Amino acid sequence: MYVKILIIILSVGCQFKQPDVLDEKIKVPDIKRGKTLVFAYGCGVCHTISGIRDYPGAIGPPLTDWAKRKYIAGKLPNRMSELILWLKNPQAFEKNSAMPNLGISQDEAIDIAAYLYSQ
Amino acid sequence: MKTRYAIILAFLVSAFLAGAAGAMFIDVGIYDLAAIRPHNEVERKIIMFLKTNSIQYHARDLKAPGMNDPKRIRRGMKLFHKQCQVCHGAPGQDRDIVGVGLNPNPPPLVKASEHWSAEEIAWIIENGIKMAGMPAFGLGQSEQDIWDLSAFVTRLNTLSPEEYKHMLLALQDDALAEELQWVAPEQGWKKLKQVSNRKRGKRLLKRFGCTGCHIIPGIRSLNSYGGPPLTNWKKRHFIAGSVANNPINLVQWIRFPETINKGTMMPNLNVSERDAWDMANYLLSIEE
Repeated sequence: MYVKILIIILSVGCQFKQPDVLDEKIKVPDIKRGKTLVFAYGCGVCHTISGIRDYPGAIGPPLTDWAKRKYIAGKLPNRMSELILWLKNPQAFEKNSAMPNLGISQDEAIDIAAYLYSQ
Repeated sequence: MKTRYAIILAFLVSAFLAGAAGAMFIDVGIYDLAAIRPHNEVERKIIMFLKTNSIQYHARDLKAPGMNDPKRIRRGMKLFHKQCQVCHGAPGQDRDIVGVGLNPNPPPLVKASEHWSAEEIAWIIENGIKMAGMPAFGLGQSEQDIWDLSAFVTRLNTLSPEEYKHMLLALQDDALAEELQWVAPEQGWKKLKQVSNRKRGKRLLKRFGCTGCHIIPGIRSLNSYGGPPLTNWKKRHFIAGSVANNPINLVQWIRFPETINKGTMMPNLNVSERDAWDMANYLLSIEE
């Protein structure tokens, strides 16, 4: 009996171990780290963002009430997945955008996006 | 008599305790020097205040030579691209990793000429700024280099990311350089004052339904998040992240958005030129 249960558990475990299911790291967004990163990357230098005090950032649009906004850069639908792509490489969507590519990594972009949506 | 001694004693004891607490604070190391975390608000205010006053004071005797010279601005750009872009970036251009993690964050210089005169910019470049990570670029460079740089930094204020790219190409290419606007073109501020009507602009913004997508201070807008809020528009630097915010560009944007930013959601509403100037007047007066 016990052996049978053990075998079942092991086989279930093995199934989950398939590379495309478990090896892909699913990151849990960390809003607090996102806030630190928003400061550290200097987002506040260009954008007015709730909770971030830097210069009076007015070079780009304000990001206050970000969760309510419908579009990113007047083009992309404002969703987590699109925002992450935009943060990592704005020029991929808009060749001549004034927003620079800051070399933000995937994990960092997830946290930054999470912070912006939490505002 | 007795009370006087008591007061002096109390004063000395409290001074000693305050000193001891200060020494302990420094000794224990609670103070966080990490660049990744911001200064507290009091520190930040003091630093900003000191910076402004110190730079204005020390640059007071400088006198800029002729700055609106295309050759000077082109030479300035060459130096800017090599020395400044690493940390400050440029419109639409990457910073190096060196510049990304600095605290204070090296500000983009597009607005530099709104805060500083050409002389103050030259002083900052030549002498650097203590505790801010700004090196003194005067070392090993001629006075002319510094003024060239200052001239280009001033020009950045009106430059679009696209123009910056063209100028980069023109650094090596004399024929291309001839075609470019090195000196800032007309911005339209005078015309805005002379021909446009702010009140009429406000009415038109309402009538064209701009508040359906944008929050515009002074005009009632409900839950308008289709486009970005136009709060503090007077200070906003870029229109659609594409061109500098000035009357001529803003009128063009209001009338023909597609010509400035291809694929934008902002519709062409068939606004006449006169109407667009009035709307621009209202928008460029928004300071909240």
